[in-house]
Amino acid sequence: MEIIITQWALDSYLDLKHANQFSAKDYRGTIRPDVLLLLVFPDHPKFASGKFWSPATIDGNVLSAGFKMKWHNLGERCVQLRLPVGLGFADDLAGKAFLLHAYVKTDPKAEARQLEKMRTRLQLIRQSKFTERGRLT
Amino acid sequence: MTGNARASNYFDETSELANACRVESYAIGAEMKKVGLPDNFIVAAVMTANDFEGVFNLLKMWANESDPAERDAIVSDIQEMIDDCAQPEKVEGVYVRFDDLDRIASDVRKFKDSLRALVDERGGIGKLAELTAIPQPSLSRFFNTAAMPRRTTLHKIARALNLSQIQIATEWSV
Repeated sequence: MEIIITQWALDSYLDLKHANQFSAKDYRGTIRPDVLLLLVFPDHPKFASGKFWSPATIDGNVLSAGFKMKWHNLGERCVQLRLPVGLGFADDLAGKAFLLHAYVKTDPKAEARQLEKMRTRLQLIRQSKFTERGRLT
Repeated sequence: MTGNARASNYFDETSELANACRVESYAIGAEMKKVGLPDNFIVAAVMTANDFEGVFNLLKMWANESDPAERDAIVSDIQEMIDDCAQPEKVEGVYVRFDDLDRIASDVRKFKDSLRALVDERGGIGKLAELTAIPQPSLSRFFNTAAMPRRTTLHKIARALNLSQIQIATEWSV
């Protein structure tokens, strides 16, 4: 699996890091190693854990090609970090995992907004209307 | 529109459901007009909602929301989606190394803070919202985050405030 860094992922990283939602140590020690597991998706036991990885759902309906990577009580601030991932597309997008906008889970209303943004961005990826910022290797 | 793009639209453009969604979008647009959101924003939001189910759902969230702060957050999200959906094609951006990210975030913040100072000299965010037709909550999010600024937003700000190209020049606009 190739891991594609989108502009949305980069922007959210810049903002969350700047807001001290997590540290460089959290990134290097926890976030990055977990995201790199996507290289061998789904051949790692962590992908079988619903606490770490799950399909994105809205009102009980699964969002096609939408998944969430989850960290609970991350870092000193014990944040609930979520990383939406687009994966399981067809044709020329097959074999690629797209990192979307990461966010800190707060309340249900904010979560619902994030999921609609995810739905929109998955559609943009299918339409090839996004900015790629490189690959995570 | 390509076949792939058409196939990924969330509803058949001619269906009754599509028309019902459009009518609902127009009704929400009329509500947005009543609370003073800019016409340009409303038109863009409704047009984008016609093609993107996620944006349509954000419009419905706004219509059903009574908390002003949450409504502002939804407006900011809708503006973000309008900007995303306006991108005509895939762009291969320059790769950014992890070790450079802190410096980039710091540079972006410095740039936005200096631009904000210019905005405040010329009447503040409220005035800028009037002049650019960008909703005030979206401008507040723009100035308060470390996300890379969009060139389209910078150009709107520059035109509105009669700023020079140099005053909006940053290495990190996208």
